[in-house]
Parts: sequence; C-alpha cells; structure tokens
Amino acid sequence: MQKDLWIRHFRHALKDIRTHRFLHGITWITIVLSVILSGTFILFASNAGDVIASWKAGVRVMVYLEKGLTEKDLVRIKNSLGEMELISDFRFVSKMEALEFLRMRMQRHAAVFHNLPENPLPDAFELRVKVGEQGWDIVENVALHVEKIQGVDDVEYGGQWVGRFLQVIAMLRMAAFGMGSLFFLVSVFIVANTIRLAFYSRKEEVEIMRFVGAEEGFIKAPFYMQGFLLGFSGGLGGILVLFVVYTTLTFRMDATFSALAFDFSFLSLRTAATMVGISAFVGWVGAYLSFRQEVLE
Amino acid sequence: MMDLSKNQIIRMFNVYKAYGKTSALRDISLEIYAGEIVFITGASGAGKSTLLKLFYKGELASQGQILVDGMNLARMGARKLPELRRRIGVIFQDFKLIAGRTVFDNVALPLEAAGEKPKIIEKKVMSVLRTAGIEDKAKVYPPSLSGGEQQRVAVARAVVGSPSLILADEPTASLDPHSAEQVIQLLETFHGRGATLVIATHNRRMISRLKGREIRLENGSIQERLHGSDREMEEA
Repeated sequence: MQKDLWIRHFRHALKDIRTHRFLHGITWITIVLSVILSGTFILFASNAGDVIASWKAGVRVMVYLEKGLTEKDLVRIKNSLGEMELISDFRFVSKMEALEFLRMRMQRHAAVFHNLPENPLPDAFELRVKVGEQGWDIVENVALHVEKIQGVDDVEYGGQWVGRFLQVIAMLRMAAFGMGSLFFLVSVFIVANTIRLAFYSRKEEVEIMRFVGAEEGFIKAPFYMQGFLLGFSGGLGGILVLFVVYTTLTFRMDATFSALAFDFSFLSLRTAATMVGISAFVGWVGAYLSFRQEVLE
Repeated sequence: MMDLSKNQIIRMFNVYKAYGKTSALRDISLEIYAGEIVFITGASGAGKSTLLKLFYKGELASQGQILVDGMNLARMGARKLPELRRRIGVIFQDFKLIAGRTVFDNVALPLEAAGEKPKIIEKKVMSVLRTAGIEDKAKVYPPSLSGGEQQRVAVARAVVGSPSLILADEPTASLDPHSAEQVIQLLETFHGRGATLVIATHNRRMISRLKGREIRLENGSIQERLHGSDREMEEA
C-alpha cells in the first residue's frame, strides 16, 4: 500500500511539474547553476588540497653543486645532508642523469640537444623536506642551512610562490563556502516560491481534498516530492554539466597538466553524491518553508 | 414519534454562531438519529448552510457543544479532523469537483485519502458510478458534463467511502427538474443502504418525496420541527 501511495504522489508531483513547466524550469536551471558554481570552487579547492597534501608529504628541494667537485667533496656534502633531521630523503642526481631526463621531457625539441658542445647542467642533490605540522617556514630554514654547505652553488624550491599559492587556496576555500552558502539560500528561496505558487494554483483542489478527509501529509506529500525532485535532478544536472566541461577542458589541457606534474582529478564520487544529496535536501527545505509560510499567513 | 432506541449521530446543545457582531445561529439544540432523513429548511440567510458547516467542522461554533458520530467537535484536535471528514460525505450546491481530474479520479479521492488499495478503489468507484448511472463517464473530465451529471458525480464521491452521515447543501438548487429528480432518486438509494441524510434545501418536492423530518430555521433560530405526518397535515 505504501508503494502505491508513493507512486501516486510521484505521479502527481510530475503532473504539477509538467503543468508549471516554465516556473519549474527556471527553478531547475537556478539549482543547476548553483551546483555548477559551487562545484567549480570545490573542484579547484579539492585539487589544490591534494597538491598541498602531496607537498606536505615531502617538498622537493633541488641543491645544485659547483662545478669540478671531487668524489671526496660529494661524500662530505652527502654526510652533511644526512645529518639534517628535517630532510626525510635525498638522492644524488648526476648531470648526465639530469640531461637524460630533460631529453625525455623535451622529445619534440630534440634538435636543441644535438648541437651542445658539453653538458651545461650541474650535478645536484634532490631533497625531500617533510613539512608536516611545522609549517612552510621549515623549507626555507632547510634551504638556508644547505646553502651554507661548502660546494653548494644554489638551492631551488617553491619559495615565495608556495606562500602565495596557499593564500589563493585559502581564499578559494572561503569563496567556495561563501558562494555555496549563498546559492544554497537562493535555491531554497526560489524552490519555496515555486512550490508555494504550485500549491496556490491547486488551492481549490486542496480544499476539496480536506473536505473528503485527506490528511495534511497526504495533501502535501506531492509538493515535498516536487521540491525533492527539483533539487535532486538539479544537483544531478549540475554535476553532469560540470563533468562534461571538466572532461572537455582537461582533454585539451592534458599536455599542460602533465608538464606541470599535476594529477588533476574530478570530484570524488562521494563528494558528487554529497552535492546531489544536499541539492535534494535544499529542494525539500524549500517545500517545507513554503508550507511554514502558509501556516504563518 | 421518534424512536429513541436508535443512536444519535448528531447532537447539538445550545449552539451559537456569530461572524463578528452578526449572529448566524442562535441557541440551536437538536438531535439527529442514525438512518434518519432530516431537512434543514428556511429562507435564504436563515443559517441552513452554516448549520451544515458546523457538522463537518467547516466552521467552528462560537458557543455550545456539537457531537457528531460520538466525536465532540469543540474538543477535537486538528489531527482528528480528517477522521471526522471521512465519516461524513458532503454534497455541495456548486459540486466542488476537481476540473483537472477525471470523474473516476474525483470519486476515488476519499478512498485514496483513506489509503485504500488501487484494486479496491477501482471496484468501489465503478460500483458507485454504476449506481449513479454515470459509469460510461468515468474517464470524462467534469467540465464536459451537464449540471445534473456533475451533481451525480458529487453524490458518488460523497457516498463512495460508505460514510455514516451524508450532508447535502442545496443539492438540487442549480439543476433542472429532470436532473433534480435523478439526484433525489440517488439520495434515496443511498439512504436505503443505511446512510443518515441531512439536507439543506428549498425543494418541497424532495421534502415530500423523501418523507424525512424537517427543521425550519428563521433568522438563525429553530422555528419549527415537523415530522413527516405533521407536514402532511400542514400541507393538506
């Protein structure tokens, strides 16, 4: 019996959506746009979060050595680096290895390497500095210490742009939260008005249903279902549009991302499902508020 | 004389109803027994419709007690209202049918509201439409029906849930004599199946045909209570 009742409510909800298709269409588009905008911010923030997490696991610092160092010098530098607790891992990268790596990465410009009189790259050490909870300053401290080691020519790491990047990420997160909240409110407001108009257009029918002994839950269930359907389908639509746009853009920019060693990924299934769930909840809350207003009026 | 061994389905004790400073009903006390036919008569504005509305809690009494099928309306909470309404079938002068739903769906509404299974709904609705002589109109929308047919749909909707009490507010007022006769016949049929009928009407033909008790209102007060035999004498 419950199943029959839900089917009945679903049928009536769809009928109402069809009857007021323009109004429901506008509401649906608003929800889709809200999900796309919030989703875009979340997409950037989550990918940036992944990048930061990988950095925290070990920031890469390149230590370039002076030319003409002896085997003894290399051992001395290696020992000095090994004594530093903040360095989680390090390895020697010979200038031959560095050149080979560069050749592989720049296969399209192979001609550049053919006419080189000698290998212009220096020997180097690649370090991993574990940031953990101690903050990004730790990388700078390590760099300053390493620079003082005799035989070290230059130390290269993310430096200042890491700090700027973190600021941008923090702003993105705040914007995601702010925009998400704003669109949440806007969507709730629009759904509430749409449901209220649909309810008023069936006011006479509702009165008749009350005369024949229908419970309030029975009368209002199709309207709650309308809100839920609008939110759910809007959420799903938004995620789908975002996925299509993401796939198209990443397909075109794949080469750029791989060159930057970025593993850019779409929203996880869990995040996407949560967004659709929140969107459906927004629809339900909209319907609830429209009836709250009816009671207050 | 009234058979007092029968159950009272409606009891009213010193009921008043006022709209602001305008008094619609004054000191109404009455009893209606299960299985009876009762006509509420009186001139326009006498309070007939208001009295009927009080029975199904379409309006609240300003003062006094009303008991319908054992439920005290003054003490009854809003949650009990659907239960009361399901025990009562109401027929309106303007039919109050849902234009966007077929005849079948209109008649099925009280059963859907009561949570009946679709198969039972179909069986009951088709049975009552057959009795009302509009079985072939099941898939038609109300606006394409004549007034008489629409009122028969309204009667079918009122009785489909087998209510113990049927309230009819001027059920033949907007119908031609032929259609009115069909509606009277239909009401008679459902009364024969055990329902109590309370009808607000001006239709003397219906009153003399159905031979019920008559309560005459004047300016919101009960002016006269006539039984079938009293009325026959008065009319003679």
